Amino acid sequence: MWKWDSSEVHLELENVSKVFGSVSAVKGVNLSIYRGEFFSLLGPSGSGKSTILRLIAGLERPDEGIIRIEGKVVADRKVWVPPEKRGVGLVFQNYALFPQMTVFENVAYGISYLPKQEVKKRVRELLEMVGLAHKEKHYPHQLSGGEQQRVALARALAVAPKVMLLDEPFSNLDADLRRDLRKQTKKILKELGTTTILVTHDQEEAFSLSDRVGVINGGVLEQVGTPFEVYHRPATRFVADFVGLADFYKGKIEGDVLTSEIGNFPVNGQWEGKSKEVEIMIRPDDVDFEPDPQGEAVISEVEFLGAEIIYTLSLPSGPIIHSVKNSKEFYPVGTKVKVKIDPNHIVIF
Amino acid sequence: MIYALAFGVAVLPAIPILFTIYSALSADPELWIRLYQTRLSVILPNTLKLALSVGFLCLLFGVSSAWLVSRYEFFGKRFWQVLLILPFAIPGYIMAYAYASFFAPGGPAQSLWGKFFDFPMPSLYSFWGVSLVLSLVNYPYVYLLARASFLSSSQTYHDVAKSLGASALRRFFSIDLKLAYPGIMAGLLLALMEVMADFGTVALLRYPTFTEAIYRQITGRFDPIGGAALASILLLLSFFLFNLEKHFRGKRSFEQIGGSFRPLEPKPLGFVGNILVNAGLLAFMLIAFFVPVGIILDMALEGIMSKGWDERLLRFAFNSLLVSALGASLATLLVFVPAYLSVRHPNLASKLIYYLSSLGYSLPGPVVAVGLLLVSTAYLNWLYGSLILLILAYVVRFMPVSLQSQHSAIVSLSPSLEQASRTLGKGLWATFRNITIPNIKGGIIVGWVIVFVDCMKELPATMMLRPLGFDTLAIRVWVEASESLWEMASIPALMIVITGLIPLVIVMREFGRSKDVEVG
Repeated sequence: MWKWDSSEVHLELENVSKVFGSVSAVKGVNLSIYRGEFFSLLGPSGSGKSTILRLIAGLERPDEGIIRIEGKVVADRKVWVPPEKRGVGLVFQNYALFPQMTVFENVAYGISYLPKQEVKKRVRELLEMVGLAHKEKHYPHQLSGGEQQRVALARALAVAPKVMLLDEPFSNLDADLRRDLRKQTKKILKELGTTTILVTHDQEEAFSLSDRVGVINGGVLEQVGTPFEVYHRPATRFVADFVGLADFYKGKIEGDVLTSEIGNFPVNGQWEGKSKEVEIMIRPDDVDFEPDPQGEAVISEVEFLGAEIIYTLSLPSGPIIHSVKNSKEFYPVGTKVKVKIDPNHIVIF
Repeated sequence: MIYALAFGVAVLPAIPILFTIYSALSADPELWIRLYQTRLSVILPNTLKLALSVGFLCLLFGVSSAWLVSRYEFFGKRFWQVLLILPFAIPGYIMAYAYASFFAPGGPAQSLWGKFFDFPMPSLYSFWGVSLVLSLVNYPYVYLLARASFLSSSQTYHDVAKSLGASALRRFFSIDLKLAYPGIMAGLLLALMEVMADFGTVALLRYPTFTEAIYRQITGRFDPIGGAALASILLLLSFFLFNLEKHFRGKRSFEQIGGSFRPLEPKPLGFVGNILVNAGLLAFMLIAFFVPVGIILDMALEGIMSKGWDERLLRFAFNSLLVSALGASLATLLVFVPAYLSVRHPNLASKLIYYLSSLGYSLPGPVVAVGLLLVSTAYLNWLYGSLILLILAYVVRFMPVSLQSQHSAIVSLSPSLEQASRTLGKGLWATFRNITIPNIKGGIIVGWVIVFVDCMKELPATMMLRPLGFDTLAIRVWVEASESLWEMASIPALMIVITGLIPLVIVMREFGRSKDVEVG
């Protein structure tokens, strides 16, 4: 695990809101990002995640709330620090490389105030780091998508930003390349200890890169937590649904028992002893089965994904439930099975 | 502050418009009655008739040629599709002048006619003569926009329609025409606006329309109020066309040219088809470009041979260059802020500013001239008869051209480039200097060139507003041609045609670029 210091808040959003015309893109968001942390804002398109990034960078002005970087207010009702004074790096989705400049000139753009020799040294270092030293004389249109992305990263890093913002920087790349670049980008940013916020709609990307994830929907930050927490203990129904596969059922709590269409389970903790109609969620990886001629459930659909297989099981009580198994074995449609559900991972709303 | 600046630019066209309308409305009702009886009853039907016939001919020439070059493959197609825009380089009054000299009594055409026919040759000085000349110089508007629309119709649509069992005829109506209709209409309306604004052609060929009547009202009868009254009616007509054009332009869809765009594969023509198409295009281009240019060239050479080089021509050329360069530069400078605001900060204010700034395009030259004359004589007498007034007229009239060109350049510049520059520590001005301007340079220059050439060609406003004795090339063509001193007009006319070819080179380069799109 990479180290990050949860004692020092590096970037802070306090009750930040932004309205475009009649649409409120960001609604009262509170968020603290720690020094050196890799944080991801995860949400569907139009959820307001990019707007938050643009608010931090100073490309938009909040209608309400306060934004602090290193404890200094950069935006509130009275104060507004323009983007060029914030020391915030931003890698755009389309990379936004300057087409009339070479790779070298692009990276040097933000540090042109330094002495020439120093600029040269620093640009070379950065290009070395992203593995593009041999392309410094090329123009952006001569580069592949992945190379452009790395130049954009080097350019943003050149000014040694206090905070690095990444706006879906991997979304225009092929799947294989995306994995490589993600790893490489994270390694570079972590070695430099740069506080980073990534915006993405791809949960796999958010989970694999981040120390913590914030899930956003309709301009509201629904949950902030580690990838594990967000996946296994989703705070809201939206988070549960958006992050990974999930099945939802109606249920009822009476005393310490949860009754539902998929079976009865013991409850404890905050729900114990209450009497309430609830909704429950279970992930396919917490559902297991084994073939059993006496079993009452039947495999009704098989989705082969390579390393894993998703089975759709029809339960005797009517509903269906999904189960993920590794693909060492294969069970065809129609196989009778016995279902095992891990009660500890049932989430109750 | 920046909005105030932009607004100042935007109201420039509004000043002459409002003043013209104000003067017209405050005119004595008697004047209106008299105007109706003596002028309007003639020029209104004349103008509408002309618009109708030119519109028809432009559609005929423009749509058919566009259809040929976009849907068929034949020998020399690359060549013809570029040649077809050449008539744009010839202002109407120069085309009229060239043919008038050719068909003049005792001229080459008449002696030729006499050898074959024993009835008199139809006169160019007629409704049909004017219609033909104006159609030949304005059909490229329809051609260009129709061609673009036909080309943007994707093969995919045709394939889908075919797979759904649509016949060729049904595909033509339901796909090609439907997609191209807004483009064709926009082209037609642009051509019609030119017809409304034309002064030189109708005046040379003695076919009275609004522009000609306004000119006579001001210079012949010294009646600016009467001129304003006529101008305000013309203003209404062209304002209507202007808004209609905007409407159709907005409906043209370019989104189809996306990643999966597959151009329509042109059908190859057979041997007979090849011969017919080439013969037809050759005949048409002879009439529309080569013969008139040949006539002028011939006269110019003969003139130089017999009388030598006229020293004054240098001064005329210099005057033309001077006012055109000043007009183009001022227009280019002024429209930057409105163009930028309308793209990067699209709100009600910036949209209004953009609309107002583009209004000048609907103003025929004589209307601009009347408006500025009225304003200057009422408030700014010292401006009257100065170059400043003339250059202002150019700016008002042609500002929309550079506005349009800068606007599209800024639209195609991703805002993230400017934002990236800001996040890299550069302020507003450094970003403008380093990122915005270098990336929209092309659009700025193209706009400047087109305005420059438009100023070179401009006739009516130049005549009405120029300082005493200040002769430009366009003025010389007009003065000599209206005295039937054909030869004297030839060299200035040739110079104007040659300058007029410059922006066409730019358009042709665009053709080259769009070919890349077509292929890949």
